[in-house]
Amino acid sequence: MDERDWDLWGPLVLCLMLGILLSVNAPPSQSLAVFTSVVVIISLGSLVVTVQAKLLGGRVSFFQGLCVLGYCVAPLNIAALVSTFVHLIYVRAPIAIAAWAWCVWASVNFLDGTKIEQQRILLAVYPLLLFYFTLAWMIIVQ
Amino acid sequence: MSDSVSTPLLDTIEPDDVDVPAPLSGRIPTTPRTPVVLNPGARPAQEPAASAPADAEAGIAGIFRQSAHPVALFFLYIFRIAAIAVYLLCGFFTSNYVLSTVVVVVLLAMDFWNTRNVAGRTLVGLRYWNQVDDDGESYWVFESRDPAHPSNPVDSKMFWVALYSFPFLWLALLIVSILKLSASFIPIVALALVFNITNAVGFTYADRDAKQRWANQLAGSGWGLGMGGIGGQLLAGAVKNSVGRVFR
Repeated sequence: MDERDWDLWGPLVLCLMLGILLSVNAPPSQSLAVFTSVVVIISLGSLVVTVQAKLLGGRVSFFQGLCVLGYCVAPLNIAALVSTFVHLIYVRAPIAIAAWAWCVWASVNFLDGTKIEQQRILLAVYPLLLFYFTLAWMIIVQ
Repeated sequence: MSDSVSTPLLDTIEPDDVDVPAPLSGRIPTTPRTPVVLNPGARPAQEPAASAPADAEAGIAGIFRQSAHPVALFFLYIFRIAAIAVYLLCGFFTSNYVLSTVVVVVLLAMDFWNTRNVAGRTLVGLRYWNQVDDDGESYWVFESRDPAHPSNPVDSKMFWVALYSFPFLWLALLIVSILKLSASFIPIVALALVFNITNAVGFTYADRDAKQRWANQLAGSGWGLGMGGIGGQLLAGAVKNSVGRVFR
């Protein structure tokens, strides 16, 4: 994918899929709340991380950032799919952690391309870690 | 400045922005590169007919008969109405709210795509999109159809009605859901508002930009093509800066 072309359809589909996967396994009284919170977390989270990357001086367009961060949720989708079928915590936890690591690695690569100064790169990476960890946690504990 | 009245003053005007990116002027189509959907032969014949029986033919069938693109108009309205209808009526048909949420979101997405790519292009001849240049700066590009082929007035009126009325409907639903229903529905209404308002604002800017550009080209054609180009660059630069500030 050419880095400069952005589209938000992919992130929308991935976000909806993650929401559906997590809400299917939730108790029925909570399923809508789980779905809504996943959607809200992904949208607000990508927004906040993108805004922060811009504020730290990164050369990234607003929509480009949203697009890449949305696509980077894909490994967590795989982990959620596995967690839907496998209920052993010993299988879910490592897979979710591996997916989280993959997400973070992919989005850090993207941040490297935005030319933030070296001292500040950790400031930009930290919220990414938190953002994806929140989603991974929701997958592990469902 | 010039002393004599005979010398046009504009000879001394130079463009403000010398670093306006060239692709913007290159993208303004002087020849319509819209697909075969446009048939210039059919439209002029329809326009005189559209104004006369317009008073006599009221009603939806009349509108469709007068439209040059009834299919596009139909789909534009059907997606928008379906999204709102499913949102309002989902409680009566299924207790699975996640399913209805997903259906509403999918309908909203289809409506957004359809409005932006199909309806805008065929009904009023406008397009807009966002591009990112090498610096990571994003800017908006607007394209419009050559005004030598104007759009069908019925099409145009119905398009703008659809474009502006639905954001207000969703805004009303947002207020209702804040006051009455549970907070779970607010993100969906917010998403609907984002989609609809994006289209409304985007097409409004595209329309304004198109009118300015064509008015300037008409005015500038008397002084040669070069002026039109510079005027077009000025306007494109002005629109780019102003819209760029709105959309970051």
